[in-house]
Amino acid sequence: MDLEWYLALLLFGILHIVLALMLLQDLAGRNKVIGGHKAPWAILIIFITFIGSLLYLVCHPQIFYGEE
Amino acid sequence: MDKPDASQISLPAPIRHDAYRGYILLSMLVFCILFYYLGEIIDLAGWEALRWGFLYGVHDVHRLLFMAPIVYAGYVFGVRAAMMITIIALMTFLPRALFISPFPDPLIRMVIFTIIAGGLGYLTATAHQEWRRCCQLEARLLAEKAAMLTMLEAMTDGVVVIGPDYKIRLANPSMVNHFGEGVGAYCYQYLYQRDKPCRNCKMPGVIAGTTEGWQYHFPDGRTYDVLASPYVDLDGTICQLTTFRQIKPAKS
Repeated sequence: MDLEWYLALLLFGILHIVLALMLLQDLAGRNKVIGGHKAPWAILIIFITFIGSLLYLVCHPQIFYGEE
Repeated sequence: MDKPDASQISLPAPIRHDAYRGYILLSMLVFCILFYYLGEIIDLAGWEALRWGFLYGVHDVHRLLFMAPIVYAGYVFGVRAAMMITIIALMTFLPRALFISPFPDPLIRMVIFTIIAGGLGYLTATAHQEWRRCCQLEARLLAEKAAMLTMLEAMTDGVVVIGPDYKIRLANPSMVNHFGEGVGAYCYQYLYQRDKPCRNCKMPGVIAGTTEGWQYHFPDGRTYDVLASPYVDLDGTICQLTTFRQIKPAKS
């Protein structure tokens, strides 16, 4: 693998961590989640990169209202 | 009936965005992602009729679509949402840059675009938040002015606000009862029927910050205790707030 690949992987990893932390913070402060349990959502966000995060956002769009 | 205690009055709940705005944002994002990989989806599904050259060229134009959800997120929801959508957009671009694009420097081009789009989203969010804050402040100021006017209307003393240009900015109903309508007129015309400011005018001292008091005698026998003090109007101008208390009525 050349340097560009490593850089891209590093970038992807950083993006995943930043996004996952934002979503996990929201998940921790949420009283109700779809399905009733938080753990599966946490696993989904951490291990299913991108798709898991997107799925969480689609199911919990209230995450955006926090800034109001 | 007892007056309700101020602490017991429940304020209305703050206005929240309707849920559909979140779904609009996510729909825009999903549409952009699908459009970005439409060429690959067509290949996968074998939809020959949709195999247009546009879907297989450089994806710089296709990426521009992501500007819409990023700016929308910034405008409606704020900085955090704009950053979140920017990160998702960047993660969407990466597979094409790494595995699909046959064109030169795909990684650099998409990183540059994402930085610009994220910056625009951030600026939109900041500008909109600032605008909303200004609107709230303006509404609060107007509410305070309305409350002050209500108080002035209930006063039995005459109250008049005079600007540094000697023009009357406000006169309460009691003042109008005693002296007639005078908003917009010069104070020396309204009160003393003169053509120019009085020689011993107290206005400069009052505007400088002192409080002045004197008695004002009318030819018909009315006497008023006058108290003038500085007052900052809503536009920031230092004015003279003058109260007139009648201490002697007119001779019958």
